[in-house]
Amino acid sequence: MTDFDEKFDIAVIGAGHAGCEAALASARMGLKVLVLSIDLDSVALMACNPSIGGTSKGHLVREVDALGGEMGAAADECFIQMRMLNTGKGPAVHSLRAQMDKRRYHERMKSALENTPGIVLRQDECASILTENGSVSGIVTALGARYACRACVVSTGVYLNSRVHTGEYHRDRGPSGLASATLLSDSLDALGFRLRRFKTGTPPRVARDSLDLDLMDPQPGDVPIPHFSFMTDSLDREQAPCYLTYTNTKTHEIIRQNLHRSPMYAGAIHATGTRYCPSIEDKIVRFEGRDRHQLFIEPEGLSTTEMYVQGLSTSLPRDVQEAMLHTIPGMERCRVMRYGYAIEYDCIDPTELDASLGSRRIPGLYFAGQINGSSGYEEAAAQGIYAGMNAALFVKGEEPFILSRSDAYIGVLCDDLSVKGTNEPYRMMTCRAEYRMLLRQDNADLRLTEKAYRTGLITPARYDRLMRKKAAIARAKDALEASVPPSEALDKMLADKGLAPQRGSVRLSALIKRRGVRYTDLAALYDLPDIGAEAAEEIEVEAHYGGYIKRQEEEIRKLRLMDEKPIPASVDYTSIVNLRTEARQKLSAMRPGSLGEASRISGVSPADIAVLSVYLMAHSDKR
Amino acid sequence: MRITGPAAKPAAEALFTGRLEHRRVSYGRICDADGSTVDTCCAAYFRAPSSYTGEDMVEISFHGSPAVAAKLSGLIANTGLAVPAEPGEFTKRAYLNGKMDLARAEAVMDLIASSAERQRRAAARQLEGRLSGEIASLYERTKLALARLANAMDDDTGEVELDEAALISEIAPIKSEIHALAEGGMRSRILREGARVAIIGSPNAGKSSLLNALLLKERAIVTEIPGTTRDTLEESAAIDGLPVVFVDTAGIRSTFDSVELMGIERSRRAAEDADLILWLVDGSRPFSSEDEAIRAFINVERAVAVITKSDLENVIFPNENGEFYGLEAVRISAVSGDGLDALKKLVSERLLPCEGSEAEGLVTNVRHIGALEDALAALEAAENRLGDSDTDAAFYELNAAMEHLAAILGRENPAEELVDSIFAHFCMGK
Repeated sequence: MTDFDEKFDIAVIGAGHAGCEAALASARMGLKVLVLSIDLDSVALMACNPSIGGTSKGHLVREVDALGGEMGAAADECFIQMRMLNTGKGPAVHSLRAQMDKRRYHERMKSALENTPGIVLRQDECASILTENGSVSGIVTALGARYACRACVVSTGVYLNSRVHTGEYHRDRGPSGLASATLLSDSLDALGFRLRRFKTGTPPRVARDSLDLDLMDPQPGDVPIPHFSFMTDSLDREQAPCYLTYTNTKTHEIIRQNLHRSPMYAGAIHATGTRYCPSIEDKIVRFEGRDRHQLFIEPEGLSTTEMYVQGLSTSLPRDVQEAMLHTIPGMERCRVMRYGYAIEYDCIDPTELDASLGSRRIPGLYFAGQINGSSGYEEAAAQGIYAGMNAALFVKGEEPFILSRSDAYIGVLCDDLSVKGTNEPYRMMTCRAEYRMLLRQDNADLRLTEKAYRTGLITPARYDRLMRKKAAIARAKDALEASVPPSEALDKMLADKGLAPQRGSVRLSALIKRRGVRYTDLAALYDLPDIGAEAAEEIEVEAHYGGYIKRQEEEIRKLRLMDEKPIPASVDYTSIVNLRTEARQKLSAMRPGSLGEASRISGVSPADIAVLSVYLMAHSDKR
Repeated sequence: MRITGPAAKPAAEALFTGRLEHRRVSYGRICDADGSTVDTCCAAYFRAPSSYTGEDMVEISFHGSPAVAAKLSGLIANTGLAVPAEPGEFTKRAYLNGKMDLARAEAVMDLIASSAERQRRAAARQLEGRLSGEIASLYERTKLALARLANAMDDDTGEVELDEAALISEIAPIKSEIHALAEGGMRSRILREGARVAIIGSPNAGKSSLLNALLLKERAIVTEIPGTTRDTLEESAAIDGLPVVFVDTAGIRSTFDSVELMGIERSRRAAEDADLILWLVDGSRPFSSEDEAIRAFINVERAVAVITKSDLENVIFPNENGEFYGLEAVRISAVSGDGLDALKKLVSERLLPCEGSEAEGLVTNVRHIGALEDALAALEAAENRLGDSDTDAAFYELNAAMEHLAAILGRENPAEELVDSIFAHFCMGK
């Protein structure tokens, strides 16, 4: 086929949070990248909530940043409020959340795409993906253009055959009244992907001037202002508050009386919603006993009066939405600007993908974001950079970049999706990360930046910064090995923290393990190097969790042994007679890349793994 | 029977009397906790990496009755150095360590497939009925507590308060039920294998005399010179129909005599291993600093005070509640035999406290008892971490407890069940 209009290395289909990171990563790795968006005014659109981060999602943003991604830096530029959450619940679940100016975020990301060499950003819809000899060879667009490419990242978000619902109103639309993408599903189907319908929803937006904000609790941002990117030094700006209010029994009564008009309950939607982000009508039905639910009223930006009603996602009819809003303290007279809606869309079964988010069957075809059955901007961005890196490495003929469950939340996310699959829009949660004592948001750079160095995504400035931080930590650890005699000053510092006085000489490394003792407390008393807040935090967390960190490292060592035993793609599971039938079927369908991956597939028992390992040994000997 | 891993040799040495040398087969006896011979057998030791699994390995060949096999695996597990293998574990390790030859592969696969099925059936049988129900309930409740904790930790709206005290009180009954099950497991072990009772006390407090009186024979050397008993003596006797192994320890005494020091170390160990400790105090002499030193390392939950020599003029007596230093106390005379019956009664009551307990004998599988004990330890740690508001660590421990219970039940995916539980019970998300 030589009739292509233009040739690219990689085509990225969709420019949402996944597509943007995928495009930036592959272009920064030196490739020529085409980015198609159905509407250039919706690049990196925050179609739902105006915030980035939160529990476990904040971890993902920091990991994307540590890999050289864009989301963290963009959030640091466009935030209107920052809060570190869960500070009372232990360092492993500290999470940063930022309220965004949505408009600015879109412009900031679009500008990043426009100004990155190698990216061609174009408004068009992908109609089909072409293959040659079973591998990706190009795409055809709705406008009839034919583009050659060797890899393709499908990041269509919620746009594939999407349909929105508000009460009795049902239309084939994308989010926010945008067009839906109606052509690509058939092509995916023809390529052998089984498509499923998932559903999500969004709450109404109301006019700020119609609210009595005085009746709500203002929620200010943190000062000093924390930041996402490891490249950001400090932030200083006026922050905008959010406002807290609650639903009440009157609200719930209105919802109950109108449940039959909800498209979900009336049977108009045939898609699976997420349990994580239930609509208000779901909450009322499932948690009947609760007489109120919390709502956050969040600004959508500084140049608009639109306010997002977090906690009130709904697809009830227009009049019901207004009636329920008017029962809420501070919203009695509120004016709706956009009504809430539910949206259903096509997505693939992510167990079609391997550990690099590439198709198990079609070389060069990668998927990222909500098309994989995930939910959330951060989950999308994380998959985006990961799929983008791997598509680029594929084109370059290099080994894929794989993050395991013990490396990163991104590893947990991609492993969960590609090995276990999901039956609902998948949301990251800290309890899904079994090694979360190690996978903290504070050490994402220490975990990932060096690992990603070979991809070329790590700038010299970022690398230098990491090396300085590591050197500072090492210096401080050396200095903490010093022993100090008991002293009045030491006992006073300990007493201030409610700790018992020190008897006899003690190593500083033992003192910092005591509850509440900070590096700076010791630096004030003894000769310790000035290492900066981030390095000090590492030292403190490690001291606090030392024993648990060691235990988790030991667990990981065992996991690695299994994960490092590859299973060749050529294995014919049907010929391994001693595998149980269920295991044989599951393994044939999933084709795991390693023994570790195989062991995490449900329905594959330890005995099956033993049988498989023996088979593998025999197999490799025969060759 | 095969043991693999870095602790294979020490684990085998704990029960096998022969010498273990690399690639040598040696002959010896497998000894029970009381030193009695379980079986005579041959054992071969293979140093890593020259073994089937590529790790240190010991293979023990015995006179293959299932009863001996069960006994032997129990003894190995009791060393605390080894756990029972998963189906196919050896082959898996052999593979992971790069040891597995083609010729054996097909045969081994057949073996694994059939033995895994046998083990599965055996485990299913053991878990039928009440035990399964009880452990499933413990598992569900642990999971719910964990879901509550996870929900609070994953909440980023500030709506969910983390109530550590409530969680601790939720964990407490789970803990005591697991304790009862594990204890019931211990009870059935005591009935099957006998209990270990350590007799300790200052030199010449009358330890050997008491042992002789209980056994009605002169085994230990009884003299007026303190410190005569240098080795621990183990003797079996039936106390109220209960098989008991009495361990007579060397007089624990501050001394520079190296032989005696070794004896003291043995005494301490015997006291640690014992199901019950008889702490002997000479009633005819004032309480000494040596008595005090011994008292300090006794586990009070597993000890009884025995005030000896009631035939002489006494200066030490139990208080009005019949207690001495907070321990149940009994006065005896090994010479006249006074108090011996009361002591025997006390011993049997303490070893099997709850006659016909609910949990008795439910748990007999060594692996299940081990998992219950691990779950219990993790729950205790979780309580402590919650008490310190150390939420991350509490989650880790509670999660470990849930996984130990899941392992008994053969639940494949507790992590996924946890996520389901969070969504089923808590309203989460925006």
